[in-house]
Amino acid sequence: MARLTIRLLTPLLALVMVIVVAIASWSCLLLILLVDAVTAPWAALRRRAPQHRPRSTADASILVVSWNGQHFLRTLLPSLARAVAEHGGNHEIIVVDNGSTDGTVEWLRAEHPAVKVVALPENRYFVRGNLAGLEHATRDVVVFLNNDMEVQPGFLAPLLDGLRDPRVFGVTAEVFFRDPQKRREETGRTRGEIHNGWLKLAHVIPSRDERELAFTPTFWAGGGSSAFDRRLFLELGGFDHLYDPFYLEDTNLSYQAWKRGHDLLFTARASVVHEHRGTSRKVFGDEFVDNMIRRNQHLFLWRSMTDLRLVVSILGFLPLTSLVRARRPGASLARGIWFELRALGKALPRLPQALWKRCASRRFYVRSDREVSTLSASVRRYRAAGRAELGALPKPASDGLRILVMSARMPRLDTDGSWSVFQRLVALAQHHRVTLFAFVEATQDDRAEVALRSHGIEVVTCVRERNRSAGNLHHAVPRRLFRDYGAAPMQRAAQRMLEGTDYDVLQVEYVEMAHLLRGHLRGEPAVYTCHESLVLAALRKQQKARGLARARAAFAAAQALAYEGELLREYRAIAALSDVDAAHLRVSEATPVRVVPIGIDLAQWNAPPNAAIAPATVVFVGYFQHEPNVVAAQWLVREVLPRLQKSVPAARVELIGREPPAAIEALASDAVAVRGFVPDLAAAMAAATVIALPILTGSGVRGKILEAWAAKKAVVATPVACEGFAIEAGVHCLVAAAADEFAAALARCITEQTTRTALGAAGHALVAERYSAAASAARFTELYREVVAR
Amino acid sequence: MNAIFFLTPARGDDAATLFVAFRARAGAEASVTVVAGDADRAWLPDEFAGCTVVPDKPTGGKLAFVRELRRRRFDKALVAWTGGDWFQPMRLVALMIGAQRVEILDDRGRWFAARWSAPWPLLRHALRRLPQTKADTILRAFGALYRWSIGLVLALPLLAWRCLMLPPARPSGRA
Repeated sequence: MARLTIRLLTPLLALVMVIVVAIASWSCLLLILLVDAVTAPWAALRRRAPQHRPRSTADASILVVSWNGQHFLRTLLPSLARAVAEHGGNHEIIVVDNGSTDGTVEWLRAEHPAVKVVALPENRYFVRGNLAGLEHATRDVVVFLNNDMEVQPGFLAPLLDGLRDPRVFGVTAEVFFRDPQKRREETGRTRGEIHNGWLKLAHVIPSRDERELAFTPTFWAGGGSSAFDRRLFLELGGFDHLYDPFYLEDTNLSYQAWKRGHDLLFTARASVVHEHRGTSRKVFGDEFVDNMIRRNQHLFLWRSMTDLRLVVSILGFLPLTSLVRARRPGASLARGIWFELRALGKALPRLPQALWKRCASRRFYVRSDREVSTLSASVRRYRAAGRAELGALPKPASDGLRILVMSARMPRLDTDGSWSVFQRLVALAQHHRVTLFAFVEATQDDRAEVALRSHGIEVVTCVRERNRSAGNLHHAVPRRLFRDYGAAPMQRAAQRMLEGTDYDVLQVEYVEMAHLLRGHLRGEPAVYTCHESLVLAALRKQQKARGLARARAAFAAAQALAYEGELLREYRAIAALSDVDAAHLRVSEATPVRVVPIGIDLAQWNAPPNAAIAPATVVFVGYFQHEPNVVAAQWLVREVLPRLQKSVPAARVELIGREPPAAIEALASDAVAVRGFVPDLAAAMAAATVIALPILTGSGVRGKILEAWAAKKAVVATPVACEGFAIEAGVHCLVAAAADEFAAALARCITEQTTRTALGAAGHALVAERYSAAASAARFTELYREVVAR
Repeated sequence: MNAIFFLTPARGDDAATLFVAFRARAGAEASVTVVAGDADRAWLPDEFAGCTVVPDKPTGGKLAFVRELRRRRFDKALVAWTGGDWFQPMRLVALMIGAQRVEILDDRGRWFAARWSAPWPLLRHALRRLPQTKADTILRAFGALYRWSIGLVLALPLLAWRCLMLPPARPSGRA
């Protein structure tokens, strides 16, 4: 009965919450707009440029606040003493005792006489405790440490090195948890962004580049493992009392520094081991701490965010976003609503104080909120902005480039046409430093990753998942892209990869990846490989459709035209695999579109010598989850084969390829073998009399024609299948569009051995001359250099 | 009797248990068609022996899939509405294939018959499940309704406008 009552009351409670939050947040918005209208012109007139003063980084004051944490200090202080001795500077260690009752002060005086002890009569918590200690600090640099940390060897030098640049306000160390099994929700490398109408703050796992670089920008430097310029720390107001008793005071301080033109860096070369929230959660409980964090998030937004659009969107939509956030894991909605209301209620009394500080600091701001978010998140953008030196990555050999390749699927040698990407990457990796980010299926094996890594390519993967969110309400995005490549975790992973990689050029493979990265590439040196023009594929589908399906296909074609055009705007150059695709891409004149053919590595093609050829066997190879291959196979079996059998009664068809759907399996008969996946494709092709490419729909290039030529096989293809290759019909392959012609061409190849041999040899020679993987990689490299130079 | 089981989206052991329950319900002598996912087809080859198995990924469009099932004129359709992480449209297909009798296994392990002409058991089930339904599922349902009605109407002029804003095609395709 009680559960039923709660269920019935929950929607009512939600409505009440929306109304209360709407009144509160919209009133705040009005107040903020009023205050900004008055102070913004004044601030613009009295704008002050940031002052970057030199400082002494030879030594530091190291400050630790502790409350009943003698057991933590027993671990921290010896490790700190070692780090100090190792660095060799004249450092001072200050421990602020927040009125402990566990004998910390006496123990410190007895066991660590070199440590300065500031004994406070009562617990002043984190913010005021640190400020009390800071009064006793005498060095230019102050290092703040939580008492439940253990510093690692070499901790001090990187922090102090980072502060040598006067533009840098703080440097933070990497954080590891004592329990290595624990999820790393605190790493030291931080990022902040406005996401779905709310400030999202998060620690992220440092990427390979972020580890290899001496420094990386970071959104905020944690107050428990960072070094700051003491003078600037005080000028910025230190840890703000607004956030008493704890949490987000360090975020606010860092944000103020960023907005005023100072930088915050992260270094993986200094590290600490953290017990993780050893004190506050034990003392106050998780619920209280989480509620404080939420309250302080409100205060942070009111106090520091000044971009008008952001402020309006955040506070305008707060009633709805609060409702979304009220759904907390492991708690009922009613409890979540109460949680949100309490946090907002606790924040409101501090609104005047937040607004006052907002006005006072506004004239110092030289960066917008968006600039801060971008600069602090992306290594490449920070470097491009000409800020503090981050250090260098290992140079690729012989003037090579650092290439980040982002692919919608893992390039594989044995599944689909992605083998051409695989071979191109391997060829590129011989001269460049290549990092590949690709999506994989949950059930996919890691053979391709292992193979790529063996060629020196760094491979980062993310499991693809279906997008189950409501959206795309006005059909702006083609449905397949929205459903299969629209999940928020996939977007986050791709974005994080972009931010955490220091690349010279970004290569985006497949339209699905372009869709995921939409909106993140402005100004980036990005090249898009168009494997298949969405528009061309949709137009061809429309031509084949009849009735209502034709109207739907026309809508899909218009949708593809508009969306593809919008996607391509963000790229500096486009590599189309065929000239037919290139002609269908709607991009501005300023964006070069280059036709770069795919290539095959003939050395990888190990066809068995003198393999027995099955008589009158026509082979079609295709990945059967790709619809054009299904249409092609159906046409071959239903339209071509009966005509072929009139002249060659023994003719049979073999359909080879992964994941044949029911529509393909239904084609099996005495004359048609559906073989599915074949582990040794070279042997299967070698046994074929002729290879058929009856492609009628889709776009892009068909790598299978290169595979057939690599196997020295005669090929009969439709004009669509030949697109993108410089083919001389009748010399390299027989080309036929209609079923009758196609059957006649197949019959000719089956019955005339000389024709077969000549076609196979000419095709093989063409591949060797023009379509090698190395040649393809070289053409891409030219394009990259052009993009980098622009 | 010609029966069809909608096994999707059950997986692994759940699917095996569900299949046994369906089989018992349909009777040993029934000629059975099973709609199952790829994983189940691989996992349950012995259980599926003698059944016609239809993959749960329609090729050739959803309409064609439903039409094909309607053509087979099933006497009985069995489906499980036992809840899950998200809404499964395939579970509704059981009501659309024109089977003479549709029987649904609910989350309490009880069977009930469903007919469009007498929708009360369906409504009762929907009402009972509504409080447990995730907000996301409800949002998605509203989203889908909007997308295929007002959204579609608005999409046409928006699409035309977006197409007009595109740069002209370059016949040569090269810069």
